[in-house]
Amino acid sequence: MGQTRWESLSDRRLVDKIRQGEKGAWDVLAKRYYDEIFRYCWYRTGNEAAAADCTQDAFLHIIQGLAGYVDKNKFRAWALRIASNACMDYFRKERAICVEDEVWLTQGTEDRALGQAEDACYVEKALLSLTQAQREAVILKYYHGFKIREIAQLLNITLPAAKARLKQGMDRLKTEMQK
Amino acid sequence: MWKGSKQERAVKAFLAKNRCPEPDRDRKRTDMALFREEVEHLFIYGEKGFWERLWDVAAFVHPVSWGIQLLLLLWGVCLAKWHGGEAVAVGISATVPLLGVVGGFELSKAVFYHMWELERSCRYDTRKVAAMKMFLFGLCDLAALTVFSFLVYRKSGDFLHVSFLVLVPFHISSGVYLFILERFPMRNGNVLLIGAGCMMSVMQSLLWPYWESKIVEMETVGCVSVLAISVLFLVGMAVRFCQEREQEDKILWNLD
Amino acid sequence: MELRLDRVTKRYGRKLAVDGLSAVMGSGVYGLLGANGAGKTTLMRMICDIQTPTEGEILLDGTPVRDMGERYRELLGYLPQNFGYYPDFTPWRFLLYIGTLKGLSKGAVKEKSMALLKEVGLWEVRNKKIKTFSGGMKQRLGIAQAMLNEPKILILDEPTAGLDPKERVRFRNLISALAQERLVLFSTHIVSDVEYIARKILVMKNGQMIQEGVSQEILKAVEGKVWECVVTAAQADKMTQQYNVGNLKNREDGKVLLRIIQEEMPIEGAKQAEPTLEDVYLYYFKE
Repeated sequence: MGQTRWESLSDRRLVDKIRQGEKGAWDVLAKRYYDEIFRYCWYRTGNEAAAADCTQDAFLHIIQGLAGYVDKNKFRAWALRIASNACMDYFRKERAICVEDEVWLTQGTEDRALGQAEDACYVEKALLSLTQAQREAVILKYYHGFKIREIAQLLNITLPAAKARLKQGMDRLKTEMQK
Repeated sequence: MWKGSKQERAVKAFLAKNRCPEPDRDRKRTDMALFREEVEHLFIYGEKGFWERLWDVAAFVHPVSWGIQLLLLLWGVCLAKWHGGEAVAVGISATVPLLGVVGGFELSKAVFYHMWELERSCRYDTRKVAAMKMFLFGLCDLAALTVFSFLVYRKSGDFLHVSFLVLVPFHISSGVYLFILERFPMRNGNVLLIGAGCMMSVMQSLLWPYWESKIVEMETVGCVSVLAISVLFLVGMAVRFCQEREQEDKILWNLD
Repeated sequence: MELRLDRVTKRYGRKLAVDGLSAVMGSGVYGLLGANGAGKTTLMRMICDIQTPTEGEILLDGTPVRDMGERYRELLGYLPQNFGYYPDFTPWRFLLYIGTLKGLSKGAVKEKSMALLKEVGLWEVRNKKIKTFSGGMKQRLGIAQAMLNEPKILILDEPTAGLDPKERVRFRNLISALAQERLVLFSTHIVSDVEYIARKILVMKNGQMIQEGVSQEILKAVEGKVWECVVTAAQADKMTQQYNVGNLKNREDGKVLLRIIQEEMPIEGAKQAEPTLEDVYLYYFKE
């Protein structure tokens, strides 16, 4: 009800309000980003249950991090970064081995819900054939609309590194597409 | 690099076939409730700036205190308007020692109403709170002093008059109040404050002819020294008051 | 969370209010049992960082509370034995004032004050002056202010003194509910309070901790020292002077059932009885 007054505020203003003890502002912020973070986690893990868990995990970390958060109008990027870490934690837990450059498939590919379009399944497989690093870059660019510079900042890597990951990912996808 | 290239468009189209499902509604609801609960425990504390905290302190000062401060100020102004010459000087001079009484009351309230125990256990150091109250009343008194100084200067045209009529009595009287509050933190400490205030007020009016003659005799250096000593006295008493002391122990006869 | 008292001592001139007291506390309800003058309030004030120990230290998870300063007091909630209030205060204004002193943010103060007043049943009278309140209502307000900052450590000094039985039960239930994830330390000289809600009992006498442990451990101290005997009224009078008599019950046949706490059998025919905490109290605090 009183939420409408929060809804028009920017992310930075919402965080300020939350810090001042206005819990209503948090509800708005959470609603604003829940779906997007869920989407990101889903593209990363390929698995609905894992995506939900990672989303929850990410948000809990976001809450903890609000205290020390310094906003430069990049809350979205920060939140997705945390989601990325949450996904990495998930992979680490699911498999004993998880190194950035290794390629491996998650459980989820086999657990796909019935009735899912074959196309989608195929794309999913293609995505999962990328390394974590490449997949991350591709997801951020094509599903979340981030620019390469933003991706570099978000992942805390250099611009050339971001470009390289993206290019490698793209090349790999092209190969998969041609199969 | 590959912006708008055919290949990129192809990849985009390829990826777009993979639509993410909507998050499960029930799961989303429980998650939101969980997050809300987590947030409930955060940020109950606010980091406030000095002026915000000062405003908080001011908000809880009793309106009567503000009223009395205002009355004293008006009284001084009225004196200046209705009486001429020396009576003004003596009148204002006798009013000045009373300025600090209200501040003194506020500072002693915590002990008087036995709130000190609760207050001391709270996050903000009671020393800081006391210092803020002093600052607050200091500001009010400063406003009053400025008006009084102006009135006296207008009548006498001499800074030394202002010094001995307004500033020095204020410093000394305020210092005395702080001393009383620190040494005698008892429930009837307020009576002492009023008593001291009245006494100093009367003394100031009686001593006025003596000050007049002294101002004529003393050199500027001497006068300035007297002013400086009075300031040091006030500052010293203020610091003493704010220092951590277990003053409340003195009023605890039942040590359990 | 661990609150450790390490040989805490408080001296006022020659008087020793607390004498080398050591204890370790974690989550749960702790009852501090002792007569007036045992040093309970002084000890609690030191735990609340209102007074500093003359010797010894108080540590929270290994850090001396003296060094923690504001950070420590953020975790505290304190209800003093007789707390005052500024005369024009209503409960609402009182909570706003304390909330401000506790450094709560504006939004939080209002929200928490409202929730707490409702919880302790004072919401309806939130705009009435506190001086019109009964003892029980004032104590409830006291608990509300102690809980404003969601303290991890809750210190209550004689919270049930002066309350009628119904209020006392209500208060006990409130305290039990609060002890879920926090350390609650309350002092009392009313044994039944401790019996009902304290997980661990600390018995204090003349500034020292003379017993500490759960109920059963404390009761061991008076095992075999509690006697019951039936005597005439005249004998009862005499024995009350001579021995440490706990309960005295007039029977229908004119005789008196005496409960005596002492090492040896007081008279022929006295039978041993199951000790209770009240016996413990009388054993330690007999006149």
